[in-house]
Order: sequence, then structure tokens, then C-alpha cells
Amino acid sequence: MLVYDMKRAMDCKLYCLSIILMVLCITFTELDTILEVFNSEELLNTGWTEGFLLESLSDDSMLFIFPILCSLPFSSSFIDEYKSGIIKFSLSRMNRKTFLVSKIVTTAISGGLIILIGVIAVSILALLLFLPMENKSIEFGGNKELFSEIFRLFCRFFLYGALGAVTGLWGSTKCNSRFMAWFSAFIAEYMLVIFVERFFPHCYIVYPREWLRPTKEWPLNTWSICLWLILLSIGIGGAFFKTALRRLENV
Amino acid sequence: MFNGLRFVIKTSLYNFRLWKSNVKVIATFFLAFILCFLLTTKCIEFAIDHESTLQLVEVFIWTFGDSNSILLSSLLLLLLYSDMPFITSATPFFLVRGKRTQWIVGQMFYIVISTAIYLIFILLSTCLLCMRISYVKNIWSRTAAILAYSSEGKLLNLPSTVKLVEMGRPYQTLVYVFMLMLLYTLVMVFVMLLFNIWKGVRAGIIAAIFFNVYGVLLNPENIQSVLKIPDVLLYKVRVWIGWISPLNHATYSMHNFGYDNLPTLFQTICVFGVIFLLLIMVTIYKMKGYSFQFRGTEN
Repeated sequence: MLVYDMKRAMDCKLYCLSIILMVLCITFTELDTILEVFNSEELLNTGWTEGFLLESLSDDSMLFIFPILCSLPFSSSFIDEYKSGIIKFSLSRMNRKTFLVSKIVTTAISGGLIILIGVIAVSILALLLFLPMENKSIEFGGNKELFSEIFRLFCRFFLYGALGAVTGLWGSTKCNSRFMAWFSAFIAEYMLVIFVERFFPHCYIVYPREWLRPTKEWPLNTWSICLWLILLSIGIGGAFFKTALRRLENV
Repeated sequence: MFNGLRFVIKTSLYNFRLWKSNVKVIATFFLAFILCFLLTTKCIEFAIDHESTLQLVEVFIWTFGDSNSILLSSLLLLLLYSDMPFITSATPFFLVRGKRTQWIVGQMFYIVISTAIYLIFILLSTCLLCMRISYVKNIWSRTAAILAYSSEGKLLNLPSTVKLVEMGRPYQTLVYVFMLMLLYTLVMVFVMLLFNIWKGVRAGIIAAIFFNVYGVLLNPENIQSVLKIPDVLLYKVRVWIGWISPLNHATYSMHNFGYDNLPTLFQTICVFGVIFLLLIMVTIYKMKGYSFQFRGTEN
């Protein structure tokens, strides 16, 4: 991975935006539940906060903002450099393969991180707010299954973000448009949702909602979702590689 | 006369040639398909939950018989027409060969045809999305009857009122809903075109948004709560708003079917027709003073 790619991808402002957007989104979608909790004089049941977190983080509204959010940091990087002509200076110092692989890896990491940071921030905020209101707070590390579930969920969020970002990178390169960097992941995600919900309900393997909130039987205790997301990211990364090489033929 | 008509058609056809690999066009149609999916979910899930079927075009009628859905679908056209009046590298050549009024009439012709294509695409998308549980015969489905004659339709906020079901057959109603939607969308786009030519691109987009917001704000319930109008007078508010709000003119169920003083479909067509003609005339007049800016690139 190239250092200058990483420096550009780690723009602090975008990660703050992710945190703010996710907090706002959860606040608005779960407003009734939150108000009910604060107005109630009774203590919450043990484990309520974890349930709330798992529910709200894999809600439909999250499905709406994730693909756009994950493509914000770096998905338009290739097309920006290609259109501005800066790519010529980069390619004079390194080979095309290194340059393109760096773009894929940086885009995937930045896309995954922006979602993960937002999710972690929301989780900490929810734990700080609601855990003291529970009847009997759980001890840290006391519930191993729960923490394992949260860890798996975080991994899935990271990989989901990575997949969305790489899709944006490929979409923008294919269409030669910056605009498509932000929308292609969103469009692709909803096309898959429509494909499964309207036409082929049995193809749950390509159903984005199932990736975040698994309801069907997945092998390896849902770790197979992570493997599947990695495989998809590699596939789309390969498609980007091929498309970008064709674009670079004239450079 | 014949040459002028040929020039107008050529100008509009040139814009369609630019649709190939055009990101804006691709994105608009994809987003329209996603919007159709999101808007029709409620209706289709209702039919599936009740183990019922749907008439093929019913979903379109229920969904786009609602003002909010019309508004959302027309807003996507802001994306498609964001570069109005479509000045490309070919425009100077068109202007050399013909008059600027002919050129703008060609662009208007393109807008009318492309808007119709967009709405046909929306219609086909809704048909495609519900095809697994639908049939083509021209009779209302059992789902329509449940929605019309029970309180569930009101709870779901679907505009399947009894008068809608009783006043026509599905395909006949589809023609009315489609026509109203087309007229509203065309008026919105022509408002955008006029302000685009008169005051610039930004003004065009602001005018189109303002046109839509005006329709949204003129909601009988909103007016009642703001002006504290008693429930007995709500009917009068609905009639007034049915006449002065373009969005209500575009809503099929907000028309007079012999029960009230709301505008009839014919009156709505006349209202939209007059506004449409006025907009065309003013746009052609403003076009005479329009200053073209050629930036040397289409991207």
C-alpha cells in the first residue's frame, strides 16, 4: 500500500462525519424507544443495551446510509487522479500493478474503517447511556457469547464497508465518473435486495440484509459471511484492476 | 415549415444520442427503479400477507395515486435535467443552421419525450416488481377490495378509496393516473427550464424545488393545524387546496367524481394545459435574450 494513498484516505473529517451520521440516524429511527427508556422510571432488563445495539445497527436505515458512507473516503481516488492527470506522475515512479493494488487495498481499508469507527462510537455511546439504567449491569467479559457476537458483527461491518468502497471504486472507473463512486455501491446493494426480495427469495447468499443480520443457517457460526464478503471484495477488486488497466492504456 | 420541423426533431434526437453511456441517465433510471421498489413494498407485502393477488397495474395506481410518491418520482428528474438547456459541443452547429427559437423548441420536444419515457419506465418497473403475484385481466383484485372496503387501506396510507375502485377499471384508471403524473412532471420541468434560461442553472433547480415544496406545504392537515380550522370546515380547506395546489391536481383521488366541488379531470387538464402553454411561450420569449456560454467540453 502506498503511503500517500493512506494519508489521503485517513481524512479525519470524514470519520467524524460517519460518527455524527450514524448517531443521528439511530437517534431518529429509534427515537420512540429512546424516549420511552428515558421517560420510564423502571430499570431496563439485563442485556437490553446489547439487544438494542444489535437491532439498531443492522436496521434498514443503516442499510440506506452505509453504501454511501463507505464510498466517501477513497472510492473516487482513481478517477480523480486519472481525470486530473496526476496519475502520470505516480505511474512514472512505480509500476501499474503496485499502483492499482494500492488503490484497491486502501479503498477497502478506508471504507471498512469509516463504518467500523462509526459503529464502535455508537456502541460506546449506547453503553454509556443505557448500561447504568439496566437492572443488573453485566461484568466486562462476563458474557463471552455476547462479546463474540459483537466481535463477529464488527468484522461483518468492516468487510461490508470494504465491499461497498471497492464497488464504488470499480463503478467510478467503469463509468469514468466521480458521481458513480458514491452511488454505484448504493445502486448495487439495492439491486441485490430487489433481486432477493422480489424474485429469488432463496438466494439469501447475495442478500445484503442477511450479511448484517443473519437469519438463515450460515456455516462456521456466521464466520462464512466474512469469508464470502472477502471473496466478493477480491472479485470486484479484480474487475476494477482489469477496467483500470484498460483505462491506463492511453496514459 | 417542414424544414423547421425537421430541425426541431433533429435537435431533440441529438440529445437522445447522448444517452449512450451517460452516467446521469443511467443513475436516474437505476434510482427510479430503486424508488419504485421502496414505494411499492408496502402494497406488495400487504398482498403477500393476505395471500392475495394484484392486478398488474394496480400497484402503480395505488402508489402513484399518492401525492408524496408523485413528488419523489418527479424529484429524480432534477438529476436527469440538471444540465438544461443541454448545451453541448454540437450546439453552435445547430445554432448556425437554425434559429434559436427552433433550437429551444427542439429541447422542449426532447424534454416531453424523455419525461414520458421516464414515466413509462416507472410504470414498467412497478409491473415488473409485482409480477410474481399479479394478473393482467382488467378487473380489480381481491387486495383492492380489502383495501377499499376495510380500514386497513387507511392504516397503510394507501389511496385505495371506494370511489377510486368504483369509478373505473384498472387500465382506465391507469391512463388517468399516468396522464396526471405526466402533466405535473412536465409543468415542474418546464418551470425549471424557464428559470434556467431566465436566471441561470441554480435558479432553475431552486424554482423546481420551490414548486414541489409549495405542493407539499399545501396539505389540508397542515393548513388546518396552522390556521386552527375546526374539523367541520376541513372539507372546504380540502376543496380550496384541491384547486390551488398543483400536487393535488396531480393526485387522482383529489378529483371530483360527482361527490364534491374538487376539480374534475377535464378541469385539471385545462389548468395544467394553460400553465404549460404559458411556460412554453415565456420560455421562447426569454430564449431570445439568452446568452450562450460554450465551455468547450461536454463533461
